[in-house]
Amino acid sequence: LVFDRVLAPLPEVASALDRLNSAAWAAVDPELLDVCRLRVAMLLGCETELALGSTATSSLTLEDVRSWTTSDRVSPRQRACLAFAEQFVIDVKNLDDNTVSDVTEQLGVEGLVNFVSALLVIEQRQRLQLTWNALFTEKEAR
Amino acid sequence: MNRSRRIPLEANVAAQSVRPWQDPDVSDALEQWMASILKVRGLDPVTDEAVRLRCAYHHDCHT
Repeated sequence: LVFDRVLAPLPEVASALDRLNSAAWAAVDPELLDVCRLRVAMLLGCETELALGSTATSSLTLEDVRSWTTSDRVSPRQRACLAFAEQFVIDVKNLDDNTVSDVTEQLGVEGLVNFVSALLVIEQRQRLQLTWNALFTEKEAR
Repeated sequence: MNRSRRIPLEANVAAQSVRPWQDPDVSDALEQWMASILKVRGLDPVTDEAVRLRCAYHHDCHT
């Protein structure tokens, strides 16, 4: 992963990022978070994350995740979190009440808070990967 | 845009933590991550602050 390469001179940052990633996955149902990770990867075009496929024991295929708004294989819990994740990635400041309350209804208040924290972590990791891959590929190509 | 609070702040919880409801491991890990980033040098403070403010504006973050 690009993290190892870029953060090699910054072991404290690398360690903190690893710990944060582990804490995020431990705080939320990993299957639920994995489905959101894949959807975030689709939206951001993060091929390295998509190439990992489904890392948790998800019953959903990539096609289910891609067509989550219409797929009948997507549960109400997954649907609520996928809707939140999409809005979070595309325009976080315009998250509407219904999108938030749908997740709260499924996960509770504590579940919502931890889901948002975990979503932040997986989204930021993907943005970092995309940025660093672009920067270092360009730099190395010169 | 809705800026009203969507997560209830219970008095006893709010008094104990700046991040009520959050898993303490996640909270600690976030603090550690932020602290580690702040120690990184290489970007001048003016650019650093300009980026921070630009991100806050983009995300409508008033804190």
